[in-house]
Amino acid sequence: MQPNLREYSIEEAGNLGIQWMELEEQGRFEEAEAVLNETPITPGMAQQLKEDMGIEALIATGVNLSRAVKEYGTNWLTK
Amino acid sequence: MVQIGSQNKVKLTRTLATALNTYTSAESSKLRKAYANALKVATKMLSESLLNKDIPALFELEKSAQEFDFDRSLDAEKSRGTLTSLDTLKTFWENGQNPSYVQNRFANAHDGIKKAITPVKDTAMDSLIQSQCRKLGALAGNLTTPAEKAFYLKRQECLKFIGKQHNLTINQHLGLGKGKELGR
Repeated sequence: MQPNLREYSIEEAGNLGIQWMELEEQGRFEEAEAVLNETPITPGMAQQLKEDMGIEALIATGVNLSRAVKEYGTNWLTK
Repeated sequence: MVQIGSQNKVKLTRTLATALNTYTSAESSKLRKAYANALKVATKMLSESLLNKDIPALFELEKSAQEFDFDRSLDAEKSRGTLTSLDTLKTFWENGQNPSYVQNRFANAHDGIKKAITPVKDTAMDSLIQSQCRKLGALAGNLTTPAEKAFYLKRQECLKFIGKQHNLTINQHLGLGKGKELGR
């Protein structure tokens, strides 16, 4: 599985939060889940998850790791 | 390497990242609403782990929440301090699960005193939890929205619960308080 590295601007990332909330309110939980996975998590949060789960399991969750890779470099995905 | 509670931690992390992203760009009322919504969901996740008395999960979720504090830049120095304290709390709690450790640590301390009939308290754990709760209170001090306040209050509640469960466990290992629960 390829890591989710899609980049979003600050405004776009904020709007993902609105989309997620609105989809949940409409009961469209699968779509809401997909939007939530697009949310770029912070480098610190990503590092914590990597330490807990290992990088392969983390990538497999589909969570957006773009900020971590921007901060730590692409080697972070393999080491 | 995937641990119990990791999926919950991934969920909470994404939720708190959403809170951060909406907070950072919160210029519209919709973004502010989305920010509050994300914190409400995070608070609910903490509540569920609390209801399930899932202490390992509570430690994991609190660690993520502390990363949120740091990124939210409420006070980086205080946030880093709480991370160190949390790690110490976890060590205390893990030690409390070991009956031999508890016997050595607490029975010796009470040696020579009349047989204890009242519950023993781990004062080091209690003090650290109180300190941690004060730090969370200070971080939350300037926050105004109900969702933010609820989030920080719930985290304090979770830490206090961990402390009470810890004291309950050590008393069980010491043969005290059988059939009694230290009230929540």
